[in-house]
Amino acid sequence: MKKLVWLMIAIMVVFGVIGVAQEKIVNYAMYSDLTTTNIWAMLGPDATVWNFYPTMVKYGSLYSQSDVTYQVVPGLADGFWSPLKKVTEDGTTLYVTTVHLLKGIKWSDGTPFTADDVVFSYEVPFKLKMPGNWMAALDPSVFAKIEKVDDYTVKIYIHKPSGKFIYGVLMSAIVQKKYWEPIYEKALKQPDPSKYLMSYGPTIDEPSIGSFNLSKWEKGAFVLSKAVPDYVFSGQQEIEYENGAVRYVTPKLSMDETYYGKAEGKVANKFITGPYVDSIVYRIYQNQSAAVQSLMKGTVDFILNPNGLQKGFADQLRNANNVAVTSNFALGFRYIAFNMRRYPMNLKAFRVAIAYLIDRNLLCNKILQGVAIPLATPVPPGNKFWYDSNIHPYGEGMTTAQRYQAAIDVLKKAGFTWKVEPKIEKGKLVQRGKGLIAPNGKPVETIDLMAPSAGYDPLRATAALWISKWANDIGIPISADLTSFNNIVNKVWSENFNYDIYMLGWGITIYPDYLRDFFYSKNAGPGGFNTPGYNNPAFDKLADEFIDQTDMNKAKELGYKLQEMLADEVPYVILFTTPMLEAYRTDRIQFAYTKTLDGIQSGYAGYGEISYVKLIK
Amino acid sequence: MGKYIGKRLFQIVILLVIYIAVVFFILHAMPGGMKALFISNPRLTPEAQQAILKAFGLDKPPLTQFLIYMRNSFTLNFGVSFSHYPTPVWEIIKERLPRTALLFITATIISFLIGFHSGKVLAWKRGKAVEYVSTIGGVVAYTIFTPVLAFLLIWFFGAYLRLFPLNQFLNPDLWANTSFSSQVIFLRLLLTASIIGAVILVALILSYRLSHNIRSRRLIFYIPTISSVVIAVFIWWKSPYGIYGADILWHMVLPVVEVTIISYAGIMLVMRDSMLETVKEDFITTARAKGLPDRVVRDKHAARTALLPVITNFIISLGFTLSGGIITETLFSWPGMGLAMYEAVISHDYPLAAGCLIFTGIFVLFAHLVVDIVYAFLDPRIRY
Repeated sequence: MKKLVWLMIAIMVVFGVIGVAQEKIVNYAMYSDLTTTNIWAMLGPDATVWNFYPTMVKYGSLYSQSDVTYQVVPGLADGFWSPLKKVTEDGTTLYVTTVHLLKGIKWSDGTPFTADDVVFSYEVPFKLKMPGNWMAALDPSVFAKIEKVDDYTVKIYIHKPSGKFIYGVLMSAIVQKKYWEPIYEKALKQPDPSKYLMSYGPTIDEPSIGSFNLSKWEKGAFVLSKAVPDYVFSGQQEIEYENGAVRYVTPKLSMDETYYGKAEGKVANKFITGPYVDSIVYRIYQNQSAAVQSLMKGTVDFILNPNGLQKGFADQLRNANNVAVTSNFALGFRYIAFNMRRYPMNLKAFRVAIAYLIDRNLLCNKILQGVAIPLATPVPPGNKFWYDSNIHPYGEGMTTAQRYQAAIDVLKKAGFTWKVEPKIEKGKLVQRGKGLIAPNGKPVETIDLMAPSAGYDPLRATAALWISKWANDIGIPISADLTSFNNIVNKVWSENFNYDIYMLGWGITIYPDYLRDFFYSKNAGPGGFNTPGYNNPAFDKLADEFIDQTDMNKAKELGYKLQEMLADEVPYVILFTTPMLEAYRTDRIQFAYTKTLDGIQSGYAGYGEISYVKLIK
Repeated sequence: MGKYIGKRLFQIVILLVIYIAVVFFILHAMPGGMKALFISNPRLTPEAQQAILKAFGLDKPPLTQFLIYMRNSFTLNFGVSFSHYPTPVWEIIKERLPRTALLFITATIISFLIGFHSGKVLAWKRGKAVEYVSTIGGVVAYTIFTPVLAFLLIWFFGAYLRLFPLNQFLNPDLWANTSFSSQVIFLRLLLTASIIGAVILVALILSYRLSHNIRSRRLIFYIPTISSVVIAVFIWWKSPYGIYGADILWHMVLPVVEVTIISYAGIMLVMRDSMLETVKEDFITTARAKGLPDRVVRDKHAARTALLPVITNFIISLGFTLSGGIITETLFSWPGMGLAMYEAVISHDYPLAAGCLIFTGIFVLFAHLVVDIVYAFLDPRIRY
């Protein structure tokens, strides 16, 4: 027995020595393995956050967004694009802009970054019609073509000015031509070049233009990302002023640029780009509990999770030593959608009545015990620029009885009747409604409300049961059908909108082009995003103006109007969002900032602030 | 004996054909049929779709498809995984199999040794406190909710005492700069274990064949056994792979303990019951009447006879080990066959799910064959 103990001690010492000998390594936990490292697949059919976490830092774009304030700033471009000019080519009207590229930037293999890389990165996915994010960024209704002017200048042609030009075209990912060109040429000889490119691999050796590059992927165990030596933006200062100005001082490029005003007044944020560590190890755990235990033990320093920590784990970690739990607004929302192709969901009064019945505050703060945040518009309040704080949902500030009364009144006014009419006396429902009869004289049959089961999402399952209860109280025959997530997705999209009401959630972007995508009448066809089948020409017109607006302040005003229109018409009833709870080791690492939309894990924070994270122990 | 094995082998092949046929018909009974399932992945290039159509004969009549599927199954051509596209299913099985095999075969063998010996002792000490305590303990271990046990082990040994790694099958810090994958180490560990196992088996047979003296038998058995273990440890120690092998074994401790705790009790209880039946037999009374030492009667006469049902239990469970334990593999982040099958099912990766299913079936049937052969050796009443 003694020998066994000594043997174990010896092994532990050996592992201890190995640990001491390591370089500066930060450990992040992930809950799922990668499925690919191929950028064409990653921004196409394999667009999962797990693939993005260790990989996306490799790639650059002409323009990106500033930390924390999310303002559009140059990435690999040298300053802003030139004003769009109208030109006519072969009888077609196009708009052209010139973008100058930064000089002195190199890929991790030493190859200089030039206009060839940019042209290649735009032309390949556009010509091959790469699906997913590629076509979303290089939307053919916006992007027309790209031309190389010289090694450090490109001209981009678009069909029309649009927000998608800024947030899509100008932010499309850039890959290295030298690496991909031979593969692309081989792909062109295949029957389906796009699929050939997407299935090409392994691509671990693909050079990086970012602060880190993939070094090793041990399937099922870990992904190793190593800092790129002589990263050109290393040491760059990003100074954000309270007046909205953003200043970038880049010593390695001898640059000092300020955007959105003058660099004066109080500094709100100041960040200095790293990398500050030699490697980041993404340890793959198959369950959340193990990752949480590993964080408490100190094996990992931060947990990457697009859904945030579950409340129980967050509570556990709040009591742990040297662990900080952060809470941020999530960039997403949960909602119910009415199938407006069916009766009576197509009646505004019916939808408004349901909206009156849903008491978000009661639901979030009492029933769900504060784990959800009430939300009335698809733009969450964390998205400060685009969030319309003047949206007042139906029933705001009302008691439950007042909500019942308001819903009954709306239904009555629209011509609904009951066999047994619900009665409210002295602030109480004294008689439940039964036998709702629609304005067309026919009884309203059972309305199915599909929602994910408690095993998948207890918040939505609970919300669905309460909505059906409130509806049933006044005689609306809604039946909560708690089913699998995939079943809902199949019914809604694959079975061509075969539903009455469903409850799901969306993960969204900062630029709210989804305000148009989710409710635009042309998107109401099979597989489209407009699942309610909302068809309002006035909305469509406004949405078009919104998406075509390149002045973001004007776009904001239009976005507000869209939000107000949606709150009035309620094709969706937006329910709530959840806080993004995350945890990290305060004795091991330090982030540049922890207050950020969608949390430290989000793409807007560089998927775990890879370029900012510091090892303090 | 050869004729018996041949006959059993033939029966096993028939069973395997029936089993594959069942899998084939299940796939065909799914909405859209096998053709839709195997080429429905939108990521498949037209070229790849054509290749799959051709490889599985999906554009041919059902009987031809069945025959091609049968041939493919015997040649381990299970198609291309959807969730790991464009990786062939067999490549995934090949990657996951060594991980599962090393973990679960080790745990099953340890469970068997503990279960066999404790069951034997318990039956012999019937009515004493140790029997009640062990039996109750065994029943608790046998029926314990697996995730609870896993979490307890992870928390106590991993988080609280910090003796063992919490999760995963290797330490990324150690493996960061290696030029080889963990697969190399898993295969070498399995090879080492197989060689030691073969040496032990040969030593065991030789010890019984060459001597009737207990002491010399022990010498014949232990000298090659210990030598092989020492040589293996020495080779690993000197090898550049040694530290990596030790790392994997180090990470295996907690999952092996978990599987052992859950599995040993079943073997122990079967062994105990079997022993209790055996000790009532006349030949045990005769052995005692001959004045043989208690230990000899227990180990040589009773335990050997009582071993048969335990062997069945053991070998069949060995066959099933290759399907892995979804719960164990998930909780200890040990991506093996169990997780592969689970992931295949939830991601609708039909080729991978079917491949895992067929592969598990092949091993379970093979285990049946081994049971039959071992039975024939161990039980003289079985005639062939």
